[in-house]
Amino acid sequence: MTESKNDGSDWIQAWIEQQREQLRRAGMPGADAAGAAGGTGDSDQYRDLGMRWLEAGQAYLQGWQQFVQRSASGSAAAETPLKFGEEMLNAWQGTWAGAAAAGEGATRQFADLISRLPAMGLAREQTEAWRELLAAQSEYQHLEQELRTVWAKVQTDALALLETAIRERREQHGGAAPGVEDYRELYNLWVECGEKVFAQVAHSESYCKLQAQLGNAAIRLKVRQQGVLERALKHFDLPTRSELNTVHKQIRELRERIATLEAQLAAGRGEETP
Amino acid sequence: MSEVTPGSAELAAVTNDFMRRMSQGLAALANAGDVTIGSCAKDAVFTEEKVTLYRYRPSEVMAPENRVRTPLLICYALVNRPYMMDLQADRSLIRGLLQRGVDVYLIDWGYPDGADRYLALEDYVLRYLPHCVDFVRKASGLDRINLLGVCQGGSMSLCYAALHPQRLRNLITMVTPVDFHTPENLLTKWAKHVDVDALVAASGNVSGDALNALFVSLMPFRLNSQKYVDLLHQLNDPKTSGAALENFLRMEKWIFDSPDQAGEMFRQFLTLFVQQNRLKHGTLEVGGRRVDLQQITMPLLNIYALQDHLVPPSSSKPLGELTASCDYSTHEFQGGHIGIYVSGTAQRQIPDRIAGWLRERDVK
Repeated sequence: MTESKNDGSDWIQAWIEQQREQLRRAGMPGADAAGAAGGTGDSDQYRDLGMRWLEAGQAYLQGWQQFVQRSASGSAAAETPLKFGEEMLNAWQGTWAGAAAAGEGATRQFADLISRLPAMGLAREQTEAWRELLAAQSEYQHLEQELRTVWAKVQTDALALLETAIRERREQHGGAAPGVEDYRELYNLWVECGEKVFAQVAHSESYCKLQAQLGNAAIRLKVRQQGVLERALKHFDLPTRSELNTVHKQIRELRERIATLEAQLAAGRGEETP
Repeated sequence: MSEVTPGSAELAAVTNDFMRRMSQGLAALANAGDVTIGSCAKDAVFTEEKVTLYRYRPSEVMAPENRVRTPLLICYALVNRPYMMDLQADRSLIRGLLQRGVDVYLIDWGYPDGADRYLALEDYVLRYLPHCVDFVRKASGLDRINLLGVCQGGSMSLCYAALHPQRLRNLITMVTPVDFHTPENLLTKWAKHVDVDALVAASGNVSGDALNALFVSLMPFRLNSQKYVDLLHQLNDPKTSGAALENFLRMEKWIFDSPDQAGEMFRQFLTLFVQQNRLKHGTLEVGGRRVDLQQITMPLLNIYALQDHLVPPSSSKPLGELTASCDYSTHEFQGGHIGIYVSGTAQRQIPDRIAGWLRERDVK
């Protein structure tokens, strides 16, 4: 691939190899490629935060369960509310400290375990809402990764097509010319190859389905986020989008009734109606 | 790559040269000022909620007795802003029409906000558009006016024309999708599996930015990268004028100045027109009234662009067979969806074709 041809084309092949190397790096798990390509860094942070809240909620729930169990057996008689509060605080802090100390893998395992347990107790609704949010996020990230893989393949195939195009050009000139004159021409040819490859992929049923699936997953994720957000807004007696929607629907219905009445009046006067 | 491979030194040299040119282009770009939009004087003559109807002041170069008597109402798409029709003095379909004696009105749909999420197809086709048509009819003292629909605005104009054929003298459609299910229609293919009901329920209005991202992703290499590289390279060229940069920036403003789409309207358009292709099949209903394109009997001029990647010609061409117009004409433009308004060729061809066609069919 890097064989010298003494026709001034070495730099072209070097560029293609450089692009391939970047794509290879982008495909490596744990590399910075995800961040460079639009990144999931923020979403990872949010997911981690969500997991910690889940864990904290679960610890809170477990504390209550233990307290209720001890109360039922009579062993809680000596416990004061203050002591119970201290235990709950310790559990809460322990969860956060543990989450900070443990690796992401362990946190995930714990979250997976929690996600399989039925939600219950005082935090039942919140737990369920967060759990659904995390599931939606996970689904979205999975599909996003699938789409990234397709895009990476488009770029890889574009480079292969570029290589072929340059070889063909060189052959047209009897192998004496490099195929392209300068970097700009190489870039333009690469764009042309990229669009050609992408057009073929973009029109395929599998790509159309995958892109739509990702869009639909994004919608489900947004719905879950809205649910959690609206619950918080209601807690502070702040208006929510759902409430505004109700008002807008009512206004629309009233406007339609007025328009109908106006049309009836106009018709009664023999006037033209739209 | 740290290892030395054949060609790496040359690659470094050409890359550096390329980057140097890019940097010089960026420096020139940093000196660019703001751009202004629009060139023709106009007056707001009617408003309803966020919709504004403009009338352009007639060109003084055309004697009143030589003007086209029937006014032309332009119904633009809801996607993007209608100032594309009068972007700048030398890129203006409207200026071209005015200079040829056409009395031009234009509907500006405004920027829908959260309060407009339940605006529906019937609001646009049975309320706003008819009210604008009626205003122009009254203002001109004519029972019938000329209507020009652009892109999605053309689809809406077809609905209106089918429901109110007696109020139109002539109908013109420009880059208007009619058959949404042709093999070249990539947007339809992408929309096919989208859960539109869920999308609108979750989003309310559909963000103009999201639509821009969608349009750009139709040709990602060209539209995300190449056109900007081209610009920076051009800026290095001493032959490139400041006007070229202004033109580019003006287009950028137009492309990304995209209103959000009223949620319910978007839901209906994507479901009924795009996914179900009801306009073509004659099964579309607006406010309980069936849109039958066979009701369109007035003269009809269908203009489409042969290199249109958003509304491929195959999507516009079937119109001729779907209406009952006995006076159906077409105009094929060698260019794309945007070029049909702003290219030099368009300035020479399109206003001439429209004004000439209208004049031949004007009230005597």
